[in-house]
Amino acid sequence: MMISTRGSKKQRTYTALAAVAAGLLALTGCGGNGGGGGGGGGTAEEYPSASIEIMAPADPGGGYDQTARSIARALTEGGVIETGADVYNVPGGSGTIGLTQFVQNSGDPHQLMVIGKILVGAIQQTDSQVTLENTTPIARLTAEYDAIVVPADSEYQTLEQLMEAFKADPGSIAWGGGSVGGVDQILVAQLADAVGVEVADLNYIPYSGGGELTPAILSGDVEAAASGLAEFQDQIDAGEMRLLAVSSEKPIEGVDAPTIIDAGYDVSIANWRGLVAPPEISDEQREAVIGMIEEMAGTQQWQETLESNNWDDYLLTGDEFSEYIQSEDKTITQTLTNLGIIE
Amino acid sequence: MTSGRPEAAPHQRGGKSGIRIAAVVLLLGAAIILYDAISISERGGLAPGEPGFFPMAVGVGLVVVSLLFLLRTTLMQDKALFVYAAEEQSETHWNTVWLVIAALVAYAFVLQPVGYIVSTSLFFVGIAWVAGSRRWIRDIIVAVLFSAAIYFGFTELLGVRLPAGILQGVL
Amino acid sequence: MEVFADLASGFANALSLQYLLFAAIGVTIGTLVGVLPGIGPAMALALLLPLTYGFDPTGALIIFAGIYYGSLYGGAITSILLNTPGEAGSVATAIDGYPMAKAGRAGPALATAVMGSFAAGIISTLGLTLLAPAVANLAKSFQATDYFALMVLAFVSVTALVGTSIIRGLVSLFLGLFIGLIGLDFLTGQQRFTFGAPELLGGIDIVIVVIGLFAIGEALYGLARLQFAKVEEVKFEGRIWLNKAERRRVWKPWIRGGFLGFIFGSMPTGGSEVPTFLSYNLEKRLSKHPHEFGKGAIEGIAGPEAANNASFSGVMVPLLTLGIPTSATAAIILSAFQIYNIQPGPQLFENSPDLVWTLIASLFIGNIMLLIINLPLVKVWVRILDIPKPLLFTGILVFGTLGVYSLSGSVLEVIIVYVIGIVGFFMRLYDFPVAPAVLGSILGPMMETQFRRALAISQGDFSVFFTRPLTLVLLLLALAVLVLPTLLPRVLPRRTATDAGTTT
Repeated sequence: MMISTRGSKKQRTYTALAAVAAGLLALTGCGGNGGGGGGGGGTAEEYPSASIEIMAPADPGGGYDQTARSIARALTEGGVIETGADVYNVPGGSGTIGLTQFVQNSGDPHQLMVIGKILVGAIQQTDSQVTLENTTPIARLTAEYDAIVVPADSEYQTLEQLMEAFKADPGSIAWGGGSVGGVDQILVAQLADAVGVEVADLNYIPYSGGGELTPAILSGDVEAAASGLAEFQDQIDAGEMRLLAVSSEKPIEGVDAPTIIDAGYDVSIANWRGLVAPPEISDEQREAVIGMIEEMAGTQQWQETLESNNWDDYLLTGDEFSEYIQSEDKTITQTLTNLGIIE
Repeated sequence: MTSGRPEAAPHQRGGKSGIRIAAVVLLLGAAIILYDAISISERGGLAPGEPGFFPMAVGVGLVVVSLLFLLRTTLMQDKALFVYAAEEQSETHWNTVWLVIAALVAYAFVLQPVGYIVSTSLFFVGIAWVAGSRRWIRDIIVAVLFSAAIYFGFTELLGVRLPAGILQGVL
Repeated sequence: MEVFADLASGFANALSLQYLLFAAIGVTIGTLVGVLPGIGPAMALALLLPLTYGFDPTGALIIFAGIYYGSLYGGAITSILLNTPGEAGSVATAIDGYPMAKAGRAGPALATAVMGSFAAGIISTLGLTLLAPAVANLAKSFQATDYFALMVLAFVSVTALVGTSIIRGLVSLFLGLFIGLIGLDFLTGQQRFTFGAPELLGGIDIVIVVIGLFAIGEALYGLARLQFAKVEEVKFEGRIWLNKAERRRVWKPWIRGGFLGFIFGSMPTGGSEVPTFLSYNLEKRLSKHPHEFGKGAIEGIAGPEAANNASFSGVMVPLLTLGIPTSATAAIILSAFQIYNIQPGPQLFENSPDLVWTLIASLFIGNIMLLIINLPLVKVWVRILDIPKPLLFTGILVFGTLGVYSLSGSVLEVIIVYVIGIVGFFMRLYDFPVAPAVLGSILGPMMETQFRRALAISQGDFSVFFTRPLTLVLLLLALAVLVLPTLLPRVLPRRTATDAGTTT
């Protein structure tokens, strides 16, 4: 839905102050005109000279959307910028529709877009003409980790027991997780790889999200499942599911389960999210945007957001982030090819 | 069925040809869908658990029911349907239909570049004219107020983005 | 009972003058927004969510309940008066609501919708209050094979929608099934029927199908007949209250619709569409005047509207007890909860009982407000029919376009809705029923996904469909629904005929 929700009351006042003129720059995002509005030409010192527009390439409510809104809130309420920040949603094509639209803002540093690991895979999967190379990477910001769970009455008490059974008869373990080609399936494929199971023998059943996956685990439809820890937390606390391992590199504070690495399999995966700017912005502008986001990441508002959402602080900016995207692209392409999802 | 009976009213023939065209168009569409379903099956497999199974079932089903429908309009004529269609068609002002369709397509394409208020006002007045309204002043006032109200209501109150288009900077 | 003490404390929280005012505002805004074609309850909630940011959780939830019930009823208003349902849940209402309005009985039609909504809302909210844990356990035990069997049962149960001609009904159904298949295959990620357009990867939203087939198709149809002044004037005969005969015919459909909506809504495949169609079919089967259906049978409004409203309380069951959003509306309510740092799930009743019971109390209040505000307004709504026809049809086209554009921001989707609208126009012209297409595009994908999931889990073993008792029972029921109506008349009349023969 093309809904722009203002981050907060305070921010609304800003927007009201910035008046209609500045507010309408917002429309460049959906007007699809390449000009990028009037605010694009400011020098680095003046940045930002207009309202910051953040695109979430998905429906309201999901991870991209929450990230975008949290950034907007931290930017305004954290006092990083005075010009206001708006969020808008462009769903479709697993995020590639939004990406295609976003790169048309070429040269406008006030336009930002939330991206993440899932988008990297989606670009491959949908044969998108536009890729992340057409954007200017700004910063990686957050990471969420997957949890491996089984129903509470499952015979598997540890990850090792589950993996042994999986190794012995790969098809007998139906793994539940998120959509095809997403983080969850990549994790399960890497686990299969780690115990020497052919990825092609993997019995992975995709679900459209926690809403579908949770009942499938509770009803015993799937033997085991991998998905975001936050989605299962309540069920784990209530004793309906057993948490076997988490996908982070280091143990997560307050979570009573080993990492997959500690459980004996050299696999870790982070569902990261970050920001990119449109192509063809100057180096100065790029530095200014990075500076703004770094400042945002240091605000108390942002740190509180990380804590309340259980997001790991995963900050990485500029060139290092560009390299990270490239390496992610390589490993994800490899895994998706093994899975037969892309050719 | 009895296809040899002579036709009564001339307008009934109009109902016949229109519905036959519809049946042929339907069958062509069904054939394209079946063709695409075949290529999906080639890529994804045709077993019940594979991605090609349902598309194939739907493609074949659609071709079969389209053929049956064509049959009902030619060899085994459905008289009641002909009477119904003839009556409907005689009450349809085809020029209006084509004009409205053209206006809709034009509206979709100018919506973003020209902007919501202007394109909607033009569309509104245009359709009202096509529909036979000749009260220009009323229509223009209603059109402009209506589209401006929607624009501001949606962008300001509901937070939905609508394109400003050529009025960008003025609004 | 403890439940009632909890509920009473919920009412204590929600029953202040301020909150009642909130509920009234919510219902009014919801009705106004719901009247716009293309803006159904889910969209209305998503759009109006930011308005609630400034309120405390109780106030926000009460406004929310009001908006939801209001927008649901708003959809019924346009379905009945203009034959333009804004979302799939009110399609069944239009089938008999519009003919009733054409016959001058718009008043009783709207009145039975609002009163049925109220009755079913109360039934289903009581269901939520008393049965939530039990129903949640049932939902938890459903496996993929059971869902598949349930979908099959739903499919064969709604054959009444096919209408007079089986061939044309099937054409419509298959077109709907085709639309449902467009997009990325959910289980493998393969592109199907996307014809190279990235906009089609995510499939065609059911709202687009409904707006196209109904709002755009109907407006085109109306405009085409305007030149010959052949548009049947929808006259309003002035009566709002149900007469005695009508009263006798609606109360059972209300109750049955209420139960159907609640039970189906609480399944993890939830939503409001399927129970409305099932209710329509059930009422037609049970009615003493089945021939009136499609021509203005009041039961055809009473049942589906009740089911539509009741499904909301049903959807709240898995949302509150399991943290599972089963419909777009529920997903938006979930994100509203998250604004207040509340995580629905098995521990919600323990951790924040105040909030849960306040929410349930606010559902009751929202329903009561709906009745109080909208029943007197029926007279105002029928004035929609006084708008000059050229402006009215143009307005429907504009709002239909707006609904799709604000949903997607994509011109291609606007073009798609127009194409579907043109198809809808020709379907009207040549007497194809439209509802099966909507049904096919809803049920088809659900059925396919569950079927293939079940097969994947069993590694291709078909016996899973016959070895699980629940699945088998549901499939046998489906078979009975399919076969009995054709078998029974053949067996029974012969018997009565021979009976008659022997007695004389």
